[in-house]
Order: sequence, then C-alpha cells, then structure tokens
Amino acid sequence: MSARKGVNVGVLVGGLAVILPLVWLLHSGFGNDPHEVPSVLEHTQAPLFKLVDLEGKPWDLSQLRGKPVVLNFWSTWCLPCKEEYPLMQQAASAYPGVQFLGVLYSDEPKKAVVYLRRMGNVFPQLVDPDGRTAIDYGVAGVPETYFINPSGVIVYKQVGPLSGQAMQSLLALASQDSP
Amino acid sequence: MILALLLNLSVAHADLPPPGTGTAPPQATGPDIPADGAPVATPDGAAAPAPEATPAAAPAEPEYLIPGLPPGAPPSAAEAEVLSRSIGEGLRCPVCQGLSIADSSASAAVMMYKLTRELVATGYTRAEIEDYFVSKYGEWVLLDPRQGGLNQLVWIGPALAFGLGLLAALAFLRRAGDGAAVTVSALASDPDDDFSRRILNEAEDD
Repeated sequence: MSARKGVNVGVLVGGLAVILPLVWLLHSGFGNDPHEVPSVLEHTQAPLFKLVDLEGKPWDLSQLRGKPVVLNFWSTWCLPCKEEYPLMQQAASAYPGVQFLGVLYSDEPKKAVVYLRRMGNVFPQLVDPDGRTAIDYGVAGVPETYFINPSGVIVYKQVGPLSGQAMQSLLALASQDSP
Repeated sequence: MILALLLNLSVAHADLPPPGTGTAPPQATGPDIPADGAPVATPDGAAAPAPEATPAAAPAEPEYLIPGLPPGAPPSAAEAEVLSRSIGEGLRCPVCQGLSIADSSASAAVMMYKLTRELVATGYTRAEIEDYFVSKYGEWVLLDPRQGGLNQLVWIGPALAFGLGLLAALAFLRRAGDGAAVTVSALASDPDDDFSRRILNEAEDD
C-alpha cells in the first residue's frame, strides 16, 4: 500500500511540474493582445526629425528641446482622428507653452488642407513623406500621440484617441523634466 | 462621440489651472505645465537660440538613413530585389493579421517595405535592417522570433516535453511490470493459502 502512495505522490509532483508552468504561460498570455504593437520607445530619446508643415515652414525637433512636445499622428481618412481633433485643438489653445505638432500619416496634404480649413487649426501640421518619421516612431496606425518632455524623452505613447482627462494628466507628465 | 469628448474636455479644463498660475494639475508631481513657456523654436519654425550652445568647431555628423550607422557597399539591383523581398517577408505588417510587409497592401506595410528596399539599396545588411525595425516596433515585428533568451523555449520546449513524457511513460510501464511480477511471486510463495491457490489455478487455466 505504501508503494502505491509513493507512486501517486511522484505522479502528482510530476504532473504539477508540467501543468503549473503551462497554466502560468496561459494566464500571462491571456492578458496580452497579440495584435498590440509594443511601445518600445517610451522612456527613450524621441527620434529627431526635420519636416515641413503644410504652409511650407520647416520644423526641427532638436530645436524644440526645452519645452514639452505633443506629436499627434493622424489622417483625414481616420474616423477616430476626427473624433479626437477638437480635443487636440482645444488643448493646443489652452497650453501655448506646449508645442503641439500634427503629422499627416499616409494622407494627401491637399485633403488635409481642405479639412483643416473647414475645421479650423491652431497648430502646425507636418508632412511626412513616405511615413519615414512615423516608422521612426514605431507608428502602427492612427491616431497615435507621443508626449515628449523638455529633455526630449518620450514619456508616453497613446494609441487611439485621447480623452480630455487623459490629455490633462499626460500634459502634466510631459511637462516634468527628466531627472 | 465628439460631443462626449468636448464635454469631457470641458470638465477637464474646469480643473485645469489657468496659464501661468503655477498650480500643478492632479497627478502632476513635477513642475507645472509651462503655459507661456520659453519656446526654443517659434511657431513659424524659425530657429531660436538653443538652451545649450553647441561648439562651433564640432563637425556635423553625416545623416544616414539609420541614424549613426553608415551603410556598407550597395548590392546590385538584382541582389537588392531578392534581399528586400526576403527581409520584407520576415517583417510583420503592424495592422494585418499574420501578414508580412512584403505581402500586404496596407499603407503601413507599404511604407515599411519601401523603406526596407531603400535601406537595402543603400547598402544596409539584413541584420542592420531587422535591428532597426526591432528598435522601433520591438521583436514583435519579426515573424520568425530570434533564437535567444526565453525565445529558445519555443524551439526547445516541444522536444523537452516529448522527452520528459517519454521518460515518464517508460518509468510508469516499468513500475507496472515490476508490480505485476511482485504480485505473482507473492502468490506463488504461499501456495497453501486457498485464495492464492485458486488464483494461480485460474491463471494456469487461462
């Protein structure tokens, strides 16, 4: 009888040794979205860029060091971008100390000009030929918004449209300089 | 939705400090949002004095397609086409389901593939190009995960599980065989016992 008990304990321990890691793997896997692109650039220096806005004026990110920057990738064919648009405009008006920059993503500048003229616009909208800057920032879709602190560090990447409350908190976060 | 956002914003703005008041908004533990800050660049894009002056004698770093990484010798057009296709087939389209950037017509994939071809034509190697995309999108962008670190479990895990299962099965069969032998020998050792004799007889009849 004692031999049978010994075998059962061995099987139990062996079974748990196999099953528990599998359960752990499944548990951790269920919390992940396999389609979610990781934000590997958070807490790193924002990639520098030199782009031209829709009015033909040049913008160099390195020249903006010393003030918070909000970089919003968007396009006119993107419905969530349009839903977010009024919030971006109002926030840019409320915080002139924060440099808001829009970056057109896979869109025609002509369409953007028409849209901006109709909706009103208070901050520069940059043209990104071939999406090179978008790729440099790891943009997977729009809208995506990067909050960059005065030291040029990306403190947060927002995937999808922002809420007013999130905007407020993230602007405060981006205004804090790196230690 | 727009109305909801506007309402949300208006509520949020009700809590916002007026520009320049120096009151930190909730969750802010550092300095206030500079409402009228000290811009380094003017809104019209004209360069203003940088906070830290750079030495005038410092040579300008050449601008490479991958910052700080000079390309090697460019391949021939035919080689570049083959290499671009091969690299593109290994990079995941960020907005597709299991498609590579070489096989997708999504705008994100098209832009990434175009850059891949440009990088190849300029002289960057497969490893340098893959490293560049991994640095922007993480290892997620590689359709074929690299064999290193925990990723090795993907290759080793199935073989390890099969080996352990085989060992466990062999051990179980061996123990079961030993148990049967012990039982028969125990019965045979005491043939005078009625019960044992009946079982042995039945076994012989079978």
